[in-house]
Amino acid sequence: MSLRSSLKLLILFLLFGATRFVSAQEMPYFLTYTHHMEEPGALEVALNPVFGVPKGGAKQFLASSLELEYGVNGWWTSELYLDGQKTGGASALYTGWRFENRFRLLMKEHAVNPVLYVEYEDITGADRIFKEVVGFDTFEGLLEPADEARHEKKREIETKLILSSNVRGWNLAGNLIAEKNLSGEPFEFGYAAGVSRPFALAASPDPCSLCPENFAVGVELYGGLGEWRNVTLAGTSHYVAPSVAWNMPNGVTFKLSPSFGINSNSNRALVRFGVSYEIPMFGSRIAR
Amino acid sequence: MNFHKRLLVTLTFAIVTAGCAVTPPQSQPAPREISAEVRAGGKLYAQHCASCHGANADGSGRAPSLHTASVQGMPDAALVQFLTDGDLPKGMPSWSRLPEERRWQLARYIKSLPVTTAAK
Repeated sequence: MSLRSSLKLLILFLLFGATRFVSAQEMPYFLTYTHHMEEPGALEVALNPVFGVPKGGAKQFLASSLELEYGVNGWWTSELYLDGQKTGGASALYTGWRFENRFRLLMKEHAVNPVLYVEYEDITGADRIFKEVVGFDTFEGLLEPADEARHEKKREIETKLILSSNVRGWNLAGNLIAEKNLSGEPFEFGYAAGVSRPFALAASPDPCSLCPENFAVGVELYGGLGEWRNVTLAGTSHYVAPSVAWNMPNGVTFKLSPSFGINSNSNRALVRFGVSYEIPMFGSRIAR
Repeated sequence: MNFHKRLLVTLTFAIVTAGCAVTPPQSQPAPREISAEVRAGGKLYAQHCASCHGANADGSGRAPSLHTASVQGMPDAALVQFLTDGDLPKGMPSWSRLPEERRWQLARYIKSLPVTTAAK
């Protein structure tokens, strides 16, 4: 079966095959993490394509990650990402994997809720997911052809301090990022921040898919903060990204977010699309 | 029409069609006269709680019944606070991702359930 056929089947399954009532209530963020963890035993499967519009002569690309998110327990969530990309005129590439864990540090809801994030990634220089922007990442990083960049190995540890609050229906979240390439490069720093709110705070009494309660809008801001001994905004790139999420009652969530570069070092635009489906009690079904 | 255009048309049609499709809730609210708040809470319960607590809230091996006296005797505000915090070490997730208005609707639905002594 070809990749296109598989993709079509996956989309049709998500739209029509996934008909159980499940608990998806996704924030509209793509990069910013909140303190909301995956429900214990639930598995979320997501596909997150990114269409990149670089500048400086670099070619447009379509990258995507397949994301498997599992709620280990109430305060611990694990995720595996498999990344790939296709740059205009070049072959499609598998660009690596990431494994992350998030640990909620306080067991009850507080005004500010901290979460610790630890990730190991084994990707190539051709990875174009832009799951975070750190250090002095700029549009120039995309000038190297993907067929050459794929030979560069990046084995990195990334940590984030996630701070998140819910206030009167709004979610406010900020992530501080520290990433270390294990080949000996210095720590690189970055940030992501987001604010979001559902269209309607209360649920309507009747089942519906297109009612305002199922939609949430937000905006994210993210970028680099330099590196160890050189924490700065100079020479870094930054993006602003309005976003919208549509949580369908059958557990499927669609998200859309165009990111726009806001300084001279940024790419022009990164358009993100996400579709996800949550399988409740996946762990206990497997254990049976 | 090339592949990309056909895919775009198919996707647009599929998304709009899926958006118009409505899946009925798995659990029904209590049989007496039901307020809109309780009905909304029943809908939220089916979406977020039924997979663990059961469609009729009578519990499963994974989560307790919500018909018990200990749940039904809980003040509404305490129940909303419990939904907000969860009990993370014991596997009850925090539902603070839902706006407070929806947590109150959930609590009203839960408190509308009949009390039984024989719970799982």
